[in-house]
Amino acid sequence: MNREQFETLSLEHLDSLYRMAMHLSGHPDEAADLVQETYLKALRVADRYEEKGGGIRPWLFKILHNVFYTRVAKAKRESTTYDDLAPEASDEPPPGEANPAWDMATLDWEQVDDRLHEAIGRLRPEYRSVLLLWGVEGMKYREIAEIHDVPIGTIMSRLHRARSILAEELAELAEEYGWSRGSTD
Amino acid sequence: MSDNSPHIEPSTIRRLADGEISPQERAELEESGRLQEAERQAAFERNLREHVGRVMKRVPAAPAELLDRIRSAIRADAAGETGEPIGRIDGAGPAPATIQTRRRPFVKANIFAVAASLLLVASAVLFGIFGRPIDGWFETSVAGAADISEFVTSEHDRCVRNPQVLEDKIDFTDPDEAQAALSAKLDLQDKLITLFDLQSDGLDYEFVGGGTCGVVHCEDSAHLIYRRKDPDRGPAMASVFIGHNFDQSFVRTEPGNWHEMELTNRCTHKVFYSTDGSLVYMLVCCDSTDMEQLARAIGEQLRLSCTGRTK
Repeated sequence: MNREQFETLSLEHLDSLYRMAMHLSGHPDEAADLVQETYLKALRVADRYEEKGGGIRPWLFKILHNVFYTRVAKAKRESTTYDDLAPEASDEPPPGEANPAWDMATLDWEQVDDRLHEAIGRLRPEYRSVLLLWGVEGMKYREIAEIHDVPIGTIMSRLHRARSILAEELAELAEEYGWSRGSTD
Repeated sequence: MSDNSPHIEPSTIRRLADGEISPQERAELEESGRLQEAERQAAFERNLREHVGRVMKRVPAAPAELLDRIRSAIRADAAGETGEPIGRIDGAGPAPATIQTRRRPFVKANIFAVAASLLLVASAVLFGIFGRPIDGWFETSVAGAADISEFVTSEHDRCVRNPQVLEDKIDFTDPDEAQAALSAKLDLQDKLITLFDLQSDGLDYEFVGGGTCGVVHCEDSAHLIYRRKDPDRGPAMASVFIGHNFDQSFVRTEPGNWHEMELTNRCTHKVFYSTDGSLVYMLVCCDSTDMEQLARAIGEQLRLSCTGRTK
């Protein structure tokens, strides 16, 4: 792939990459740096790119993740900390957890969105990343696992855990607003 | 857990909602009479996914300058440059920059042979198109060339990437109105600018609109914007900048010929320029493969008439 082909294929995904970088880093300047470094690294290994279905975007996401976590590791070595306010939690879902299901007719989804926004912001970067690839990019578990370079079971666990955390937030919201539930546990 | 509700594992519900459940698992749910309940619970998960997606999209789009930065960084990296501008003229320097066409060495192997071959082919093609080669092979003095090329490519990209910028830029969408108004704004007195027809002879660019512009080193300038309509080739836009009263920059440019303007690391596209002896025309296009044809069409129309549209 020459430079012009690389630019044509890759730059249309700039906004998606920037969105991911923002959710990982939380800082616009840091996100911009991450994205720029991602494109440069991708250019240098462009000859190794192989189309596996899904286009170039998953490959770019993978590079972005590598760039981000390399920086995190370096920052930890230098005793610089990144914000990571999510509670320590196992990736394994708690046993016997009932699935919440509310009477959707009574849910005020505007309220839900704001609460979700806050809750997602408190999640660890790896959970936010999985949620974004799942919820925004519409990727399958296998694709997400390839991007994160972890087993598919790990991704399923992380996604399950992230959704459980969000479900707990919605349960609190439902309590506050007295929304009725379609089933109880 | 209600005694009346058959328990279904939350992970199963979520995989059902995500379309990740195996046919065997689905069959088991159906046989046990739990599929309907599972689908009911999965509906909530699907809704949640939609809202997670919506919430997580609440991030501003990448800033426009980030695209410029990345393009510049890619090109600097590919060319092995240090990132300093090429031939940049700062203020009133002792001598203006010279214009030379620039080959960017993106082919590593046997670069000189490739460059020589491209030179021969390009010369043959361009000679056939223009009747004489583009004067990029000849040096012509253009003061502030780097500033001008950076400005016009940046303006072009801003319009391409941001619909709001494009809307703010366009003062006139009607060709007759644009011709009259922009000619007045360029202080051409009895002359009218040419609104080029870029929809014939294989070209498919329709006029979108025009407005005034502040091209550097120029007292008055206008920006005409065209959009390619061909659905098979994908979207592309072309910009024609028309400048009046340049700072003695283009006086030695022979009218009707096209030149390729010197580029810097910050330039995202090629820039061709020409003059009819009075006005200077600068051409930028998203699709570099259309540049030659667009330049030919504009050049032909400049020779045909410099006082109005050709139809």
